[in-house]
Amino acid sequence: MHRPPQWLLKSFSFLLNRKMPFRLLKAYTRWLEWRKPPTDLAQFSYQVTLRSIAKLYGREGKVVWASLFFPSEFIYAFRGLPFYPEIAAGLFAALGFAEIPLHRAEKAWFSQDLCSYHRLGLGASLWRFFPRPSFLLATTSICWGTVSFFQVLEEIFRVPCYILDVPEEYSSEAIRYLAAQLEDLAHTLKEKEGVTFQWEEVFHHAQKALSMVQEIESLRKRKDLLLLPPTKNLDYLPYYYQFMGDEVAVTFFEQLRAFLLSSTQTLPHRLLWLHLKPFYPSPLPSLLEEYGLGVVCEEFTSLFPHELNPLEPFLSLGEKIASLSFHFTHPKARTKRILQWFKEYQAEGAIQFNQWGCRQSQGMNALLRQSLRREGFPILFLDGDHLDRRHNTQEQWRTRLEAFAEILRG
Amino acid sequence: MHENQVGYFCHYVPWELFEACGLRGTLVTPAPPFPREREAFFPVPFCPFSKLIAEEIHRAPFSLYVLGFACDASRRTKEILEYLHTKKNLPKTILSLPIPFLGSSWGIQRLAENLRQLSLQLALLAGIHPWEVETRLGEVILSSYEERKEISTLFFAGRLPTQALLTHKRGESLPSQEARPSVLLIGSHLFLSEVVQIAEECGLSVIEESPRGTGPWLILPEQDFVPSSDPFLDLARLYTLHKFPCPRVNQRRAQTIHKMVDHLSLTGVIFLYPQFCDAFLYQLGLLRRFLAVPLLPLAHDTEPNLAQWTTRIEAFREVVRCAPSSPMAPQKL
Repeated sequence: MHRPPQWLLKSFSFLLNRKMPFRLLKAYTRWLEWRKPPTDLAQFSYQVTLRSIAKLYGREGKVVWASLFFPSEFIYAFRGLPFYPEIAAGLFAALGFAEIPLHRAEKAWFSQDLCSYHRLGLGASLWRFFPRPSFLLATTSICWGTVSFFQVLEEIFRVPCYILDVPEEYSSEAIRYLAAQLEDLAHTLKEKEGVTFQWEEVFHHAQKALSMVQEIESLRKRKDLLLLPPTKNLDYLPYYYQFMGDEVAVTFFEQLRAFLLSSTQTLPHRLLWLHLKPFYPSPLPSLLEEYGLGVVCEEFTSLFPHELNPLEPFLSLGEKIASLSFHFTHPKARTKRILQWFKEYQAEGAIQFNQWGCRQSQGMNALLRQSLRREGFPILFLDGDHLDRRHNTQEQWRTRLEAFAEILRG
Repeated sequence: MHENQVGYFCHYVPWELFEACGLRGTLVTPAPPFPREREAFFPVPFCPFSKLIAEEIHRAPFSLYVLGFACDASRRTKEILEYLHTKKNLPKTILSLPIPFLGSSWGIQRLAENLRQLSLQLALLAGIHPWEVETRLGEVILSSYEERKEISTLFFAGRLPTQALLTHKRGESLPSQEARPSVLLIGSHLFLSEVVQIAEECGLSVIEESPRGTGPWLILPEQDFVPSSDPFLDLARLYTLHKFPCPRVNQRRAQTIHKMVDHLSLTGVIFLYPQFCDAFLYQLGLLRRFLAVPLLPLAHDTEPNLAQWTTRIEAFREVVRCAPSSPMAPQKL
């Protein structure tokens, strides 16, 4: 891609840091809502994205950056505006602009070998493309790279950064430890930022969205229904993370259920999708479709059915963090969950798209392969990068998917 | 098998705890020639030090190891080793010490608790009463603190010879030197001696801060360590608040190095780092922000790149010599 000139990028950054353009955008979104009430997923997502951009860049509240596994319910509870830089990085890549912030980060000596979600987040922050945060919230899960990423963000923006220490185990002690940290954090934010917490409404929305997700999961277990194109559900990641606790997520999942029920086409093979996928425009979904490889369950959109109790908000959120962290990072727990999905979804195999800079997931590959092989399930590891297309090996994907499809047929 | 010996890594694992249990701790240090038998269990973009540690532990003679979980790579390394040992039925015990996020008081409390748990396991293996360990630990911490203070005083005065701690045995007296160092070498566990040698051949006098040399010993001169009634909490405080911060503690380490460069009027920094190590890679970006002197990054995988390093250090020598006498303004992020 040809990089735009510096003056253009600086002007773009200048505009992004002014409120006026986003007031106009807000007016436009209102008009759009009136003129084209969203009846399908694409239009709904488009309008939600525009509304979020208008709110975040128009600074209609405290903009709070959070790491992917920091529960958004906590932020909605004090009426903050959650912004997940790792999700925004995916959006940047999907729009085809990843190279600009990646280049900026590398110019500041953040190596190409670092996770590209974080590298892109750093580059976009250095360019001031992302909405300026009031403060930062992160957990040490699911990888240590996140901690360093947020510490560098703290250095860039010079705003407070609060990091929750997540223990390696999933036990009542771990949950209580996290709950105590969350309570302490809430207390600090009340004192320093003057915020107040209201849990009922937020937990009500989150609970409703969660039960919709469970319903969708049940539907996806049926052999006559399939979400297409394969891996499409990962494009809806913001609803599973950033919008949990907001009414938007409930409406979205209602629409997603309707869309799924209206699907008429299926593919010969049913697969699990582990980790994330390339978010830049790539032929991967069409290759999967071409070889008859349908995706019935994705690791990152599989949430946990925990009751969120507004009377014990910190314990509830502590449990959510501990549970997610444990099931993503502990090899035995992760394998057990994957094997359970194989059964429930009647899946024949799994694909993991490796992220170049991700040590925590790639370091588990050898053991995961051994465990699944022992149970008779094939797994394919595709190499590349989710955001940086310089690591893209499309022709290799084709060959390997073709071979994998043959294994499944055989 | 070496009785009463325990191999450990990383340097957040306190040797004081081993001593209190009557064990002798040895920092696992991979040495060439490096075998490649376990490499297939690791992905390519993965910490080379972890790969070599796995080889070393697999072939090393100790029956007990303690691995600190300070990063994703160390955790995965332990899982792979456990798998290999179970598969081959090797009589090795691998214990772990999870290192929490240390930027808050929560993390320090949890580290203290993790140390207490580890001491119970070690006491059981060593056949002594946990209470005895706790009693001894207080004394060991005090003597280690005195030793660290002595080393640190020499170091921060710029009078600690470069390779003094690479071969130093505890209890031996330390040599001191009069020549002032001009360049700081910070970095990796591996290939340190090779880089020191090249730098000295190029006429640069070097002071090193690395996990194999001075790193585990240095404590910051600003605050005095006051022991409490809980030796585990004391040990956690000593290793988190007083010790020279490791690359995982990003801003604090970068600020400390910046101060040190200023204090010793150093003219440049050589940064030797393992490729694919996130902590070091983030550290590099931050150091560029904090340092006002030339910075030379040298990356390594599982082998050194001596020819390339020589050329680059020679060029760096010219940069350092030609650098303006007043320090450069720090780079803006």
